[in-house]
Amino acid sequence: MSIISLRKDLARKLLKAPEILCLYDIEHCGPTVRFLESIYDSVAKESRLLELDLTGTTRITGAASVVLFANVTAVQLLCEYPPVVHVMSPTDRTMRQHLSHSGLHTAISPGGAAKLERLWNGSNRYQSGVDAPTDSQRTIDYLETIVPAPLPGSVSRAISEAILNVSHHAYDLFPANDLSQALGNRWWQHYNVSGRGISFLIYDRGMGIPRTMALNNPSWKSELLAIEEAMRKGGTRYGSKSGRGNGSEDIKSPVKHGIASLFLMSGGGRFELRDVTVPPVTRLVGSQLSGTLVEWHQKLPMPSDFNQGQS
Amino acid sequence: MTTFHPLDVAQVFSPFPFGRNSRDGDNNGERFRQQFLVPRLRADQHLRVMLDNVRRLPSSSWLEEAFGGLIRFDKFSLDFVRSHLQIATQRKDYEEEIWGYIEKAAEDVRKVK
Repeated sequence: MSIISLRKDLARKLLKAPEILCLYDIEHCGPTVRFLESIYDSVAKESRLLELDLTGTTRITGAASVVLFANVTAVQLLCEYPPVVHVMSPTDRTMRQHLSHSGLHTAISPGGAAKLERLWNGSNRYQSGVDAPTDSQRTIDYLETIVPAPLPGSVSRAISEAILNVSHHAYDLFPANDLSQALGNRWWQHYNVSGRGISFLIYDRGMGIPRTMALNNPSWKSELLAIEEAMRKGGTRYGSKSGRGNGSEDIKSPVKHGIASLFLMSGGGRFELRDVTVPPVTRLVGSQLSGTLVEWHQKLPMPSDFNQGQS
Repeated sequence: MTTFHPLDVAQVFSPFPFGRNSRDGDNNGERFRQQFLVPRLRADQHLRVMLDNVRRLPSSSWLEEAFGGLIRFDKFSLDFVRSHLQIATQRKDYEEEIWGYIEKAAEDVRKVK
């Protein structure tokens, strides 16, 4: 049964995407978040059918693309009306090809739960899971087929723990009647493979770290303090004597092993860790992203790197 | 001389240990502790838990629940666990991590008393 009754009597609401959809660059982050959030809000709060105008978009980065995937498919699931979002393709040919080759075009095409399940079976690098034990295993199985060397244990542990975080924490504190509960413990993920590296991104539309932490301890009402506390060893909403709070060490572990860098965005804050020898960089982004996005980027050795190593 | 009975996680439990409790499926750390560790330790067996044959190293949630839980929930003392449990893995950092969870649980329990 559909959870949202759409206003099909009204014309589609037009949402025009920015030219650049990017969450990494602070200049583009605000407009990108506002556009992405408006997709979910327009359907969930205003019950509108949407026309997503990507005609002027010339670039979409990995983090923005997984949130776009999440928000479009979240509303498809919630209203059980596959054509709820109609996408106007970019006029830029390179961008159009990128959408098609990356699998994003298929991932946001009209569909519901069956479409999301099909994404696991093909070679699409956008996927969505709701069953942590099963889907974490198939995620790591799939990653092992696309990385050129055995997947480091720290990476598989980091991904498992990030998925467990969604399952245990992301949606737990929403009231039982909140729309977000209807998504289950769902997350969205993306493998971004480029010439110099592989990124793995996982995003949930849960309460986000700052709000979750603040509900349990008002002293963490600063968003950046809450994120820093959650990412600190032993930092947890359950308190220091609970045996919890070790997962952030798993999530940072690929950085500690020199394998990957870490980018995290939750609510209005972000956390970046490129190297454990330097402190993480945290900053407010000036807009509110629903839920939490985590990305690990693993650089691949290039021929020039090998040459440097041999000289 | 004390005999430590081998307990190969991959063989007796699962090659894919995952998660903290039943919410995370059947291969969770709580089930491993309750079904494989606690009954044997209560029978005063000495155990050598072997981890190297698992297909994927479990993350911290599984490890803390399985081993820290012995003290946190099943009320074994740190001395008892130290004398009755060996962790067998070629990964020294892994062994240290597990003992870290056990010792932290003992410290937490001591603070609560």
